[in-house]
Amino acid sequence: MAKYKLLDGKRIKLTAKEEKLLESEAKEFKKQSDAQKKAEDKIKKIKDSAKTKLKELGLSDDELKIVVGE
Amino acid sequence: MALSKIQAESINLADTFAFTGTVTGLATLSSVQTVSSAVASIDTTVPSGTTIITMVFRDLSLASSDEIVMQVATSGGVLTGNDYIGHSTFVGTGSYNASSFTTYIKLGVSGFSATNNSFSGIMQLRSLNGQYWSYSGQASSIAAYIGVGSNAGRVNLGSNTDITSIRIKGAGGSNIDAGSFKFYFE
Repeated sequence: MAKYKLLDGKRIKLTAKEEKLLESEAKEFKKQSDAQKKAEDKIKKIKDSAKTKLKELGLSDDELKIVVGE
Repeated sequence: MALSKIQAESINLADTFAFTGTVTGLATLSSVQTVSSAVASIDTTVPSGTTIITMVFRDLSLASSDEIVMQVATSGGVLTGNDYIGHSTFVGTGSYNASSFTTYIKLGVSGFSATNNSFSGIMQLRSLNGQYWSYSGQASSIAAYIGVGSNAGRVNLGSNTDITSIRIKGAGGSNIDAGSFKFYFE
């Protein structure tokens, strides 16, 4: 399906070159988003593991919240 | 010419004034762009010599789940590489993703751009020395999330000193299907 842009108020059909550029930027964004999601998941896993270990050492939930965060 | 003092009650503010000269010292409302049919991007030309760009946006919405972002262009084209340094934070109920990004300026925060959501806010870019521009902005979500996303960062124009246009788009290639923008240039 044809794609359009709004240029200073005028709706204009994208050229083939512009569409291709848009697609390649979208792919790059997806790559970055996936990498960021992976990094966030890794941090969450480490936090959960740290919480479990600290709880086993006797820290209360309130103490854990202050030390490790949400 | 002798100075004429005009009192407020002497001016009909409902009238239309056609200025043919140059009014200096004021921000210029350049354009109001309204999305009435889905578009992949919204491009707005920036007047030469502009050092402050203020954009007010309302009710932005996407055709499919994506993030709405902004990029700037110079005479060399739209900057799509690692020309940006930015970070977003979320203030409100729940925890939505704070994140860093380098290839665009985010208008909301991750999660604001679901299709059942729309958001409104403001973004301002200010020239530091021509090459470097700082930016800051915030966006409030209308439906899905209660809170405010804040963004701040810096853009490096490289060997250029003028921003020639602003591009708003879905970072993942989604169309923007609604919203309006007001641009002020100083």
